Amino acid sequence: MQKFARAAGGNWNADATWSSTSGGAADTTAPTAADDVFLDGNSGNVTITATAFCRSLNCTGFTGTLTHNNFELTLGDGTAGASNIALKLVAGMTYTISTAPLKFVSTSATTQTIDFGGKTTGSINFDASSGGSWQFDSNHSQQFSTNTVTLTRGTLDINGKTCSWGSFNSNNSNTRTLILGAASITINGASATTWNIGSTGLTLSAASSTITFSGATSTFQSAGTYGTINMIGSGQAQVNLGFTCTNFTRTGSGAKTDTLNLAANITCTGTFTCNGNSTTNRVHVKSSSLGTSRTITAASISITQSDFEDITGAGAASWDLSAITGGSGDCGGNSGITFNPPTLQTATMSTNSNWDNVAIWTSRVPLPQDDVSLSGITGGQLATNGMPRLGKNIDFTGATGSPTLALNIANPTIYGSLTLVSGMTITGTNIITFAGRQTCTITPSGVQFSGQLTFSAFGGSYQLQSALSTAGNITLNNGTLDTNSFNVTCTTFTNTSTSTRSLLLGTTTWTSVVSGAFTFWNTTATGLTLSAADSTIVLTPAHAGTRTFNGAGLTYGKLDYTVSGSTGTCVITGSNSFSGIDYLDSSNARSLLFTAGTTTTIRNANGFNVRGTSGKLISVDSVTAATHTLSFLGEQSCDYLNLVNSVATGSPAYAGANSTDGGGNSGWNFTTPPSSILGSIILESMDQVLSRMANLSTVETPQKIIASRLGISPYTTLSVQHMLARIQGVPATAKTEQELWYSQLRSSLGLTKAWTEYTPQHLLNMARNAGLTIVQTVGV
Amino acid sequence: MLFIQDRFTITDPETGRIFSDAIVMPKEEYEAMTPEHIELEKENRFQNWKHQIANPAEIVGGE
Repeated sequence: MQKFARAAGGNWNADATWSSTSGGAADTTAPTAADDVFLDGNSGNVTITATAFCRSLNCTGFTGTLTHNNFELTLGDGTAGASNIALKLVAGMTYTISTAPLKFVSTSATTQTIDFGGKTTGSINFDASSGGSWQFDSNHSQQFSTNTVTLTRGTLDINGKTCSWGSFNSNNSNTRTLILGAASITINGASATTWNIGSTGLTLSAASSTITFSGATSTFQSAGTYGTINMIGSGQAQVNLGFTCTNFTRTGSGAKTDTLNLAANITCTGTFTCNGNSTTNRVHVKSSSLGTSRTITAASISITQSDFEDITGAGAASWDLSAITGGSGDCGGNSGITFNPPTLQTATMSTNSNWDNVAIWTSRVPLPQDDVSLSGITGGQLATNGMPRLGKNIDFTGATGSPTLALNIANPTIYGSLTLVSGMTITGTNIITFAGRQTCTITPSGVQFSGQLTFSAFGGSYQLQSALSTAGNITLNNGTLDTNSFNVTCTTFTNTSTSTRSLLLGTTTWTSVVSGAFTFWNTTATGLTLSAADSTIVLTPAHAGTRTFNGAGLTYGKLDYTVSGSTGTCVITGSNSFSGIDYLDSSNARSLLFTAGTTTTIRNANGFNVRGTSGKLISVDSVTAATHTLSFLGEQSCDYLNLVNSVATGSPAYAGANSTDGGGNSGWNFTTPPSSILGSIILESMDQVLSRMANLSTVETPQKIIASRLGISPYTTLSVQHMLARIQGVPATAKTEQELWYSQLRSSLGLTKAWTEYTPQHLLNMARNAGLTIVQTVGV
Repeated sequence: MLFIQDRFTITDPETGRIFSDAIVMPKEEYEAMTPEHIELEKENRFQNWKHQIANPAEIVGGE
């Protein structure tokens, strides 16, 4: 039935507010979904204070105020509204909203009109369980950029009107139709998928439409055919699905970090336009996936001040960008496009300057394909000043005056090698990304980096030419990082991409200096080639928090967490292989935990160098209440451990007489290992050797050492061979001391006879006469 | 331009850890340095490394 708001007005859900006639008495109830509601010239102010319903709302002649608080007004039932009107607001009324939503649910197949009367609204949802057809009869604006127009089900005809919406969403697979006609729609939402259409169920008619995205970092997600698409917001403008349009335009803002990020191909039957704001505020047109090409097909193009990466230029357009205004940048991975030829750019400066100051360069602020020489710097600070792409090979060789490279405002990317010089300084915590797709080098020359270093070198490689040290994280996303056996020092290491990448460590000592409860080594195995069997990974800072080594079940060298006074637990995840684990702390107890169910392999004898002290045991346990396995490829001797849930397999494992069995263990011997005459090799300087030789009384002979351990006095009572015979449990492969000396000295002394032909003293004398610096001591 | 890469390794006598680095510079600049200067540069690099790993409070950033 029809219900009219009375002259007194009132709350929508109050019966007293309504009459069955215009200007009539309160003779009916509050509207339901079966009622056509009229606010007319005889109506007072009405306020929606709770969820409200009607079949339709017609405000013709109404000059009062409809206050729509934050409660949904649902319009529609199975019958079209009176006069096929679903909603009619008028210019003479006042429509006050907060974030008030409107929901159209009519299941009538009859097309009903919506006239907003120039009023702004909140979010609107069109959701008819069946049927449902609405046509805009006016332009429309939403009040906030966070408001959304949603088409869930039904047919929505924008009817060529001009609209300003926060965003549009029809990301579902229901049967629905969107008709834009020649509509011009501005989308002002930001940092979201502001035009979001699911790929199935939608019938789209938009070939004559114009959609303009004005919000920052806006994403357009829709297949189909559109008229004109304009993306004019700052930041990352993204296209998620392949689509066709007549014209496409990306207009950069005054920011240096504007992009057009393509997750799919674009086809323009007309013109593809991309205009950077200036020669330094450029648009970066790129694929959303490094190394995966996206194709822009266009009948014609209009491009200025833009850089391209992983883009294929196609169509009838001439993709010769070698003479465009502001130059064209080639970041790699492009095809079908002609760029400005690379030109060496040399900076000349003696005082502070900015990278984007064209006056310091040979001819232009470097494009991504330009090699860059900083040899003309005689002092001062060179600030990147937000330039996101610095050039190809960056070389400070020849720079003098102890210059500073300041990484300020934005994260810079380098598309080639980087050579620093001793005496210079890097400041700023912005991330340097190395993105060369060729063979590249990094030469730090003793200069410490100041922030995170990221390697995203698709198909490329970076090899260190000297030790690398940074006060930030190192991330390997793509390509090869070859440390060339030089030291690397950083906070944490992140290697969790699944892209193709290699980490080649050689004999590198990789030191994590992160002070905090971090995953100091975090890697995934997918896509990774790791060569680290001879490396050493060290965690140096003391901390009470848990640190995690997430090794992904790969092969490493030695893991070293021996900093004194660090009470924090170390967790090792994955079934990794180590040459050894050094885990010592004489000043406090701490824990070494393995993921339950994993098998950690220790390749070296005594490589499981885990040892506490009296009253300060090192706990070896699982993260959860189940066992882990330690597979030893050589005999292990530990002590002062608290072992829990630890299964030792392989070679004998001696926990030591001072260790405790906390339960759940197997394979461990809670004793000291049997005596052995296997000795240790100590390298000493020649000065130390001469000093010891000058005071032979301090040199303990093997005979004396072994006798001492066996309680034989005087030690000259028995020969070494005799004492050897008394030792129980000597492995069959145990070597005598002259055999050990022989193995070490044979090459240096050119020995040709078998080791049994020499006495230990004979070998020692020959080594002394040859001036060798190796002294072998034999201990038990 | 011809460069010299002078690789060197220093073992920390306190921890046994190995510091591996290289001096890389144009050949003429390298040859203009005295042996003492080169050794001093290497020692400085080693001491800087020791200083860095011993002073985590000076480190910023993280994962």
